[in-house]
Amino acid sequence: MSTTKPQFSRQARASLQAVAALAIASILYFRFDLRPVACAIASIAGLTLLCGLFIPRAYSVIERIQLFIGRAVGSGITFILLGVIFALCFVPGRLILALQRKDPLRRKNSGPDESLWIPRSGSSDPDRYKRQY
Amino acid sequence: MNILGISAFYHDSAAALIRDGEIIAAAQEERFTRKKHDHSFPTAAIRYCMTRGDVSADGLDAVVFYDKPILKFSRVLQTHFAVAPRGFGSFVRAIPLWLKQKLWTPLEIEKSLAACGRRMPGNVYFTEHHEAHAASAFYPSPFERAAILTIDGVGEWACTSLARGDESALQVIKEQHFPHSLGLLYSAFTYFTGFKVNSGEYKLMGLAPYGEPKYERTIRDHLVDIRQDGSIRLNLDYFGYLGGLTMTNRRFADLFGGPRREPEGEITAREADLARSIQAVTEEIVLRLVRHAHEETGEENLCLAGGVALNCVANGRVISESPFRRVWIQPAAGDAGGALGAALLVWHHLMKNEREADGVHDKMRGACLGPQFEDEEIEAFLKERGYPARKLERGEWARTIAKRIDDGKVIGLFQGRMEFGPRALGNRSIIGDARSPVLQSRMNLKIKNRESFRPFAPSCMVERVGDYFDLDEPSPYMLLVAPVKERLRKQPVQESGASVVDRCNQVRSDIPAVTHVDYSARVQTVDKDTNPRYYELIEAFEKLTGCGVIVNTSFNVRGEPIVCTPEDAYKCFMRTQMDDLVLGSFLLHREDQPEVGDV
Repeated sequence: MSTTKPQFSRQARASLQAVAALAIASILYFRFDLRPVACAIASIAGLTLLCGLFIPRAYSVIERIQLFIGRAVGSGITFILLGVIFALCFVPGRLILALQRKDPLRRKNSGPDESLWIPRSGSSDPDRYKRQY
Repeated sequence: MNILGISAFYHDSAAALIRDGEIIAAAQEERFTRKKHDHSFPTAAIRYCMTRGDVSADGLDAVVFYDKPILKFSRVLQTHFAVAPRGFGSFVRAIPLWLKQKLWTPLEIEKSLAACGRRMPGNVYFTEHHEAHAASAFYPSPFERAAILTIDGVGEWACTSLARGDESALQVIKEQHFPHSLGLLYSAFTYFTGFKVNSGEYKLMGLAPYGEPKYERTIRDHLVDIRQDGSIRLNLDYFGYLGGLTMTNRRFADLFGGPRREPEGEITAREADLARSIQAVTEEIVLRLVRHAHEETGEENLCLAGGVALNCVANGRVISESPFRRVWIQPAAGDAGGALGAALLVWHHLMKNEREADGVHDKMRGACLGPQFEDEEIEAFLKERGYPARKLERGEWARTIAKRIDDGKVIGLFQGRMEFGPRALGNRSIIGDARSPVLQSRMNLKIKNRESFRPFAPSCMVERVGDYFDLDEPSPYMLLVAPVKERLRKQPVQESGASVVDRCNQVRSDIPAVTHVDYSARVQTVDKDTNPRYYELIEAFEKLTGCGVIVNTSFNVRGEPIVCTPEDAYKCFMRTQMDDLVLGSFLLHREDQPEVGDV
């Protein structure tokens, strides 16, 4: 768990979270007519605000639950996004490499007498130390 | 000019400060955060370096990072291109870390310096990983010119490199690239024998003498193609580290007759045989690399660095069998040393500042580059906590501790500056009587809480090393293994069929606590100029007992980093069954201390 000190006070965080949740609830209520969901979100917002202002212990539990949900959602989204990238870029990329008979890892056997040392071709340009590559 | 070197994000993050080419401070992050092999950005180590060097808010002239993040990232991507559709698991694990942190190294540096109250200098440099290793081996060495060999798991692409150092210049000549890595081959066996990769390699090396090289042929025939010049190609059909989350795969297990040993599982003869076999193969490769380095460069001196250079058994063979006249090994040969090497490379190679090498003394100050606590600070700590202690006067310090060792006591020794690198060299050490036949198992099981087969190292005065070991040169950093003198050896009572533990407990010499099963010892020679207090202690022990060797092991317990502060030392002392603790000039007896719950 992160040990970084929060940027805002507990009360400010709770107020911000409540305002954001109420805004979402309003949109769901008035724009999409999802009244039960909107009411549930508004109730959670109210509870969060109350706890944040008056019951610090309960608020820390709410924050932990939020953190857990946030991390789970974040991991899920990351997994899906990276899965798409992997499927769309890396799998076809591998196919292209195979068709071109290229292997960046030089896994094929070479002649028994051949040295596997790679002579260093790097430039002696001092500016290369300024670069991250 | 103040230059800060940083290594981070893989394992053993560290920071090092040099001023006008002189090494001022260096430390691993783990010592401050108390997380073993901590790989996070080394903010605490940087803070220590800045404080130790008394660097003002804008007094830092350059910062050097020990590798090139974008080249490394490119290697990660290319590897996934080469193994897709396998490798998704490692892709999902690796990429978020890169995107979140590793690709933003300059920002991390700035943030870290700001947290230490220092401004980011205009000059930020990035060396290559193996260049940093090579620089860490050559620039602090006593040699004016030398061949430099670096061997580790992997840097950007390079796994092994050969370079030449000539005064202030350093030129990498050739490399071997990922995934054909000797370091990763050794780590694969570390994993397969149930030890932790990047930390259990010492254990594998320590286990090797208990086994027979039964699998050496199998390894050569199936896993690694070794060329005459020491270059290698791994058969990646047997390894899991390209696309998977493990070092080895099912084919590897089939080759060696079953699955890997579960961590904490029983160590059987198979693990010992595997350890011996891979150790034999590693030594053969290292020796070929060294011979090739000699042929290629024609130099008389050799410098070694990289994680594989911590394999002191291989180092011992390099010393005795290589064509080089002299060999120097960087004591922080792993990634931590990269921080120091990066800073030195910029000062000497890039800025072309002159370098002095007298051919005798290195520039590492005995590797004592970490924090130091004066007696006043220790006294204040003891008083504040109410821990009973007795202050020993200068004249009685060594004699009193030597007497306690002679009485069979195990002592935590905390004095002077903390060591940089993986070895404790007498400043953050647990010490005992090398003559005791029960000390090894007692220290392993009751104090260090580690595997009973693991050997302990001897410390002896540099002038006396030849009396106890077949070694005719100093080994100040405990990086060489040498045989115990023939005249000191004893034949164990029974050998065949004995288990690893039984064999470990057999008395093999007059100094059994430091004599390994093959009569070898990982020797540390102590120099009067570099570590006068520790030298005095060994001298006093010799005067008292006639034996000039004491047991030295790192002041920590299994899974924890070596202690850094008096508080760490006290906690470790109270959690184990050590008898005494020496904090600077203060001696603490266990029986005088409050109950553990009160600590």
